[in-house]
Amino acid sequence: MSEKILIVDDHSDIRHLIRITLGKSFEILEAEEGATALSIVRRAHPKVVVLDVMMPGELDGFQVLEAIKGDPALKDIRVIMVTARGQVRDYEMGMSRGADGYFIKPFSPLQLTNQIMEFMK
Amino acid sequence: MNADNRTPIAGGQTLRVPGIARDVALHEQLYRYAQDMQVLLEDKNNLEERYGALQESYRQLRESRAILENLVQSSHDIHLTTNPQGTILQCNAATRLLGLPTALVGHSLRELVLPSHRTDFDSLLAEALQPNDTIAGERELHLRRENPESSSLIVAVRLVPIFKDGNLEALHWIVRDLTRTREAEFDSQISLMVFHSATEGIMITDLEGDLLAVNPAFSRITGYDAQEVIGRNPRFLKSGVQDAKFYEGFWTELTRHGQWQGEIFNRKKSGEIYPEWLSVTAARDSDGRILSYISVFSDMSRLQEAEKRLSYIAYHDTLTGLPNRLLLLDRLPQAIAQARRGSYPLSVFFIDLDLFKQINDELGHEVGDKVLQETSRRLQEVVRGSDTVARLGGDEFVIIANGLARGPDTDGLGNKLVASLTQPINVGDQNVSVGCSIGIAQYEEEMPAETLLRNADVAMYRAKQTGGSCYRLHEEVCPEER
Repeated sequence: MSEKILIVDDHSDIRHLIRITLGKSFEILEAEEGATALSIVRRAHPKVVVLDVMMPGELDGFQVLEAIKGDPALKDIRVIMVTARGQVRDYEMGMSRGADGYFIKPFSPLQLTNQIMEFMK
Repeated sequence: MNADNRTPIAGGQTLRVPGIARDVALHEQLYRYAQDMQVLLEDKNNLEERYGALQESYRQLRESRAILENLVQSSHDIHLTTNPQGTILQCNAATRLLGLPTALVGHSLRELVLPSHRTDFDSLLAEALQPNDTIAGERELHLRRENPESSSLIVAVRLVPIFKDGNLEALHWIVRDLTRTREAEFDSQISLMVFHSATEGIMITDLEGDLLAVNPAFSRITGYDAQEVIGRNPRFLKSGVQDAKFYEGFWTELTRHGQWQGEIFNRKKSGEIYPEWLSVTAARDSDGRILSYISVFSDMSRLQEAEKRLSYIAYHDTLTGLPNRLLLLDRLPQAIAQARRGSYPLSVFFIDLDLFKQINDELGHEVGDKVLQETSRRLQEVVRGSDTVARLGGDEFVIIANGLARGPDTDGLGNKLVASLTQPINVGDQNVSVGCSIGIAQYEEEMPAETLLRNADVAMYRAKQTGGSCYRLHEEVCPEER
């Protein structure tokens, strides 16, 4: 049984690209905003979450990150931030909240895949 | 982390208009995918290149393994692989020396070692498994063949342990057949022993005839030490008794038939000439080329002496040493033939002692023997060296004399004989007088030897009838037979 990966992004084409990239090796779950993402995380407990920051709805990416890392039942889940927000401040914000990886869009699919493979070991 | 990964947007578009921004992000992302694809393609090409090289080196490895395997398979040495317990796993074609290779797989190698050599086998194994780098030496072992009726094999065994990840995985045995070598060594040892201990002299010469080796018996017989003669041609042994033609025949025979046997006279270091029985054989290699000549000889002088003694005893009277009847009957026809060839007269004197029987009876055999010995001495004294004096037996003697003219010469010898034999014979402290009756016969044309002897006998008988101590000529007593 293959490991689960949750892709959270409001841009469906980007989700689709990531699904093509990782779908052969993993079971891909998708969400387009924070609240849905959190409920899927709680229900399916994926191994890795690929998380956008700027999304419509109540929760942005950082808040979802905080919710996962703050929950002892979820904090083993690896969270990789994938965002267009490339400022050092944004990066630090992500890392301080417990992100396991930080990719700036447009990201390198090779590097993302390598990072995920690393976490899957 | 990946904050510096920002790539310029395709076409330099940096517009951030809502709605359009979604497409721009997608385009940028796709562009990034294309870049990674380029990287992947390059990686793929590199990998393919490396894979090709890897395949090539794998092919070469397989090739050299095949060469190695061929080498092992076609080797004359036996190559065996066993597990660490000594059970045969694999063997090459040369293993057929021991038995069918297929039949050997699964058997214990130790069982093929003759029981007398199993201790050596075990110590070879122990030595090879020592945890140092030194390669175990060879051991000479005797192996039995699978077929129990075949003779055993003498082999030199080397053992190479094969380790995998530090563990003993297998044992590689290299077994060289030494049977022929050892047998040849044994043969040459035997030959050497024969060479040294033979009572016959042995000379080995090269094709030029120069001496390569001589044995101790050669030195004993000839008196020459080995170091005096090695490298010399053995013609220094020639006595000169046999002529050049003899040696010519010797070489013709030897080169034609590879062998010569016969009697040859050689000279010892001391100068003494001796007869030897010589047998020369050409020693050839497996292609039939002559390598050397081997001469074996024995000193025949003793044998010939013994032969001479035997024939002397057979042909001579032991008491007087004179030729006996046998020799006389052999010599008389020869003397006749010679006289005929030389056209000179031949006379036979038949001598019988008077009163001998009486002396023998009255004074004993010892005195009788002395009388006979003295008579024989006097007879030889009177005749010439070329004449033959023989004792026929008892008190009868015969003289064969050449060149005596009938009448004056025969009378002369007759008188001399009578005069000599009538002289008293001194035996111990007494003088014994014996007389003699002599009959003389002359050889006539075509007369057989027996007739000549009988004629002399008849004439002797007449002399005895006359009273003894005189001679008679056959032609006088039997004129009618002339």
